[in-house]
Amino acid sequence: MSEPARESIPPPRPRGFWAEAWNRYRRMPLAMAALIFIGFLAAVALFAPAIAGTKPVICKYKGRLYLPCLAYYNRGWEPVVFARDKFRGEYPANLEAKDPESWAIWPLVFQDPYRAVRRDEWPGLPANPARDQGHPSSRNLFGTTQTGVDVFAKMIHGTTVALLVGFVSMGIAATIGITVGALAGYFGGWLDVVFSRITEVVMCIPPLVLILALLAIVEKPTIWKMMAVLGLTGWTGISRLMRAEFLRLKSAEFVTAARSVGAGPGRIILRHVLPNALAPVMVPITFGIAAAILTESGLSFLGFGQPPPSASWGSLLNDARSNLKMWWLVAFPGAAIFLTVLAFNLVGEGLQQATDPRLREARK
Amino acid sequence: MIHHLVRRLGLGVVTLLLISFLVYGLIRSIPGTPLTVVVSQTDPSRRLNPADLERMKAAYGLDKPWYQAYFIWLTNVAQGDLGRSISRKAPVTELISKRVGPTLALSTGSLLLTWLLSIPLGIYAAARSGRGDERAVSLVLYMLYSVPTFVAALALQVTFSLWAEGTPWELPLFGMTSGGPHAGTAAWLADVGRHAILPLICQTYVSLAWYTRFINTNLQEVLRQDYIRTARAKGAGTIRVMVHHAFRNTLIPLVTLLGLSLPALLGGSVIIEQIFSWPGMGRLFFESLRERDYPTIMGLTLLFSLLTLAGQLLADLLYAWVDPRVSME
Amino acid sequence: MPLLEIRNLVTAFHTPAGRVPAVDGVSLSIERGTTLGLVGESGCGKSVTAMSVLGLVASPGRIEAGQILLDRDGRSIDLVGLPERQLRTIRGGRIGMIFQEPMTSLNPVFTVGNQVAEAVRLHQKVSRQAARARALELLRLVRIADPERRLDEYPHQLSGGMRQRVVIAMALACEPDLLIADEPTTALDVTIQAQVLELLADLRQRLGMAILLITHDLGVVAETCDEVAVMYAGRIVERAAAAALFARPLHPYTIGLLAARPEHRRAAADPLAAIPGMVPQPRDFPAGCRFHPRCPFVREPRCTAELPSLRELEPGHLVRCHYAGDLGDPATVPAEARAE
Repeated sequence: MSEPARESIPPPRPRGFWAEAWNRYRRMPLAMAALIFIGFLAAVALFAPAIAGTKPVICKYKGRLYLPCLAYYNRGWEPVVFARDKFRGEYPANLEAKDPESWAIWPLVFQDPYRAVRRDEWPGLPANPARDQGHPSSRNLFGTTQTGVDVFAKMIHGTTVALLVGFVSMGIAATIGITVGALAGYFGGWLDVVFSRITEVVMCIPPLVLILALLAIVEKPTIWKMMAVLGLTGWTGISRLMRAEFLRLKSAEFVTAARSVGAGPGRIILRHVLPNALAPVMVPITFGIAAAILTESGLSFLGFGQPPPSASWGSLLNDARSNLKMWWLVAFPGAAIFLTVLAFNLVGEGLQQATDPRLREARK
Repeated sequence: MIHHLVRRLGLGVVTLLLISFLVYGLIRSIPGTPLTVVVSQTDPSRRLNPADLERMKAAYGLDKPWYQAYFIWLTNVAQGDLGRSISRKAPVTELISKRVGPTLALSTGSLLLTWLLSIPLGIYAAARSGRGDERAVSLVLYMLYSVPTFVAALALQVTFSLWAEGTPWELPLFGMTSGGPHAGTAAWLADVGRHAILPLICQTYVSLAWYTRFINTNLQEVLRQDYIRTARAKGAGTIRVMVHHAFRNTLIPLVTLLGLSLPALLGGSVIIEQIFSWPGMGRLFFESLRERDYPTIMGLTLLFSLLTLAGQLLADLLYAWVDPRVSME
Repeated sequence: MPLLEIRNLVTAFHTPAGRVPAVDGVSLSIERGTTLGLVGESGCGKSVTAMSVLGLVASPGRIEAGQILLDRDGRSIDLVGLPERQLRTIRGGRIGMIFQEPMTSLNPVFTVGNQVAEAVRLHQKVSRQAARARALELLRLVRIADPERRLDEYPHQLSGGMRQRVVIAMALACEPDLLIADEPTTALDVTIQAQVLELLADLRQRLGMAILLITHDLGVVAETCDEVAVMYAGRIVERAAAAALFARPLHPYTIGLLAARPEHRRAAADPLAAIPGMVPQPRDFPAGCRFHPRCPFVREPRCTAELPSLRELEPGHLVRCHYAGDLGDPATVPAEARAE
């Protein structure tokens, strides 16, 4: 291995490129506020079961500790003992009745995102109002749906759905896009022809046909399948940009230098070109997260999302269509979608300004 | 020039074939056929008996493997026949031609509004770049740009149903006409106009925000060029520099966008047409997907892809037309 | 009365990092029909001075003090603070300007004829045909071959030298009294450079206009200028008739510039053959004489503490140096520079 020779190749971007970009980013108040808001959303998404739910965050039952709230992440994670003891999802009364010794720490708000809370399910708490009676109130902060499900709880859990969809589907899209674009741009030739044609075909199919057809094929569209579909359809822009970057960079001097000391294509792509091509694709990836969240809520709104019970923000909006007087079913989830999309757009904009040298000079 | 066009058209045909082949395969893989979906949805008791089902399957070519059916479809398309809708019992071309009008009414209105408003707004924003009023306008537009269409549409519907009912501001929330006979064309036009207001707002605000930003950033870029300095040194005033020298250069990327907006012009917006029950192409597409109406889905997909490709070609041609530096050689 | 007289011009840029005085008390004057060379390295404030004259300093720049007096038919008007409407009649009317980058100075989407004709029509009420005829005449004047054809061509179809001729034609459209040429030949090939300079000299004679020639190239100045002003870090450091300046440069910076000319750089060991360092950024101007960090003749403590004034050392020869004429005799002074 020619280690010293490799070390002598100066990296084209100084080591502190990202540090410098972060420095510039920090000075943009709007972009910073957006980033903080996304951090807040992430915290809400992560701790959703502890914020709103009807399952204890932690409880001691028959001498053992359980975390029933994990069931909100995955239904299979609900401790089997509660099913065996026929809790049927109603913890407060059953815990008390079947083990007087038991104790539990409850979520901040005792409301379920998937069903209406019944009368006295929590001692002294009346049943959720249903239909157009469910105005926002102190018990149901954001009101209730047609069937009496608490909107606040739904929205808290919907945050998890929205962020997961945004990040996972864009993760898939970015992986495909970067791989396809990098290979097409670096190797060129027939590989480029094939990949570029595929990209063009995917771009030309109306996105809704593609998404809806794929969703219909997988039949029961869970959010995970939705993410896969959004990822499989959303990579074309990234791939095109990546290809252009690779075309530009592969003839750069530092790549020639790396090749001259015997670096193989894998090493050149991963160590030399990719880090330099990454900054420009970060921007469309961020915008893509916003677009994915938007598409998911739009599909759920049109009734193509995860079948009920679903906590997606879009499904709340869908509920609103049957009775337009229930304004709270539009106002709160609508605001949530808008703010989230706005935040990601602002972060993308900030990233662009922080990493684009052309804009940077223009600002001087 | 001719050579370039021929090459582009050839490539376009190949792409179209690939797309239609893929989409055909995709939609045929969707569980449920037009026969089962429609019938079971409308009335479970009227489910077809197996013999009838087989007969109808044969009639619509559903008994063959999808690649065979694709080639049959393709041969028919080549002869100008898009087939008959299964669920609506009418030729696809007839269905489409009925829906084009309403979509065009919305989309051309929206495009016109967008251009009429965004060009002066964009120029204004570029001229006042960095001042308080420009920042406020830009911020509002930026926020508008992040409001999802379906949220805006629903919010408008809720607002008008809660507060405008019974007031002079009341507007129809659904459909294209109120139904019933109209006293002449003028009354009909007025009725359609009232129905179009809300969908038109929804279809316009995002593109307005986007175009204004686009014009603003492009114009600012142009204003930094040396030839703008030359024009000022000649003695040209601010307005002449903005409108004559700078905007003419901004027009180059702008007409490209005009070409690219061609598919949206005829394709319509699925979401807006669905929310406002506007009987346009987007809604037809949405309904045919639901009903698994293969011939209609294929006809529409073909049309949309064709428009996308034609839009790209048009964008290139327009580009060459406005930018003297580009020649198609 | 001189055609143009600049008195104590101060033009500063207000950036988030603070006030940056790019031009800091510059005084100049140009007589009718003469050529004044404004010389200095890039970043010394030459171009900002020129843009100030036309009132084209882009925000966040602003003229903060001084007068720019233009003689207009015997009346002297101050261009500083003149309303935009009146300034526009001066720009392209009384004062024409040509720029360094011929490749980008023309609007790519309009034909050459269109752009030249526009310069005419902006100042004279003439018909389209008359403006076009005048444009053709102007293209002939700047010796563009086949002007009838060129009239309908776009800038990208022209070579760099030809485009610069078009820019000159535009600047001359209204027969201005003064032509400001900002590095007009820097971006051109050497042979084209000579042609353009020759054209300018010829036009000056024929049209009787004055030229303010901004350049970093002393060779160009020697060939074309009557007077020379040397600028450094926002200030004039030396002003004299061209012959006097080349014969006996007084400021160490001028001496350095003269010695740095390629044809004089035979002895590589010359301490001043290339002036070490760069023009400081306006926000890091040093105290005292702004040239002292790069000056081989620097003497503590006066040079580093006290700002030298512009004094008339010989008749018509002004210099801003405490020890000009008496730089001492360090062996560092290049013999050639003194012999000039």
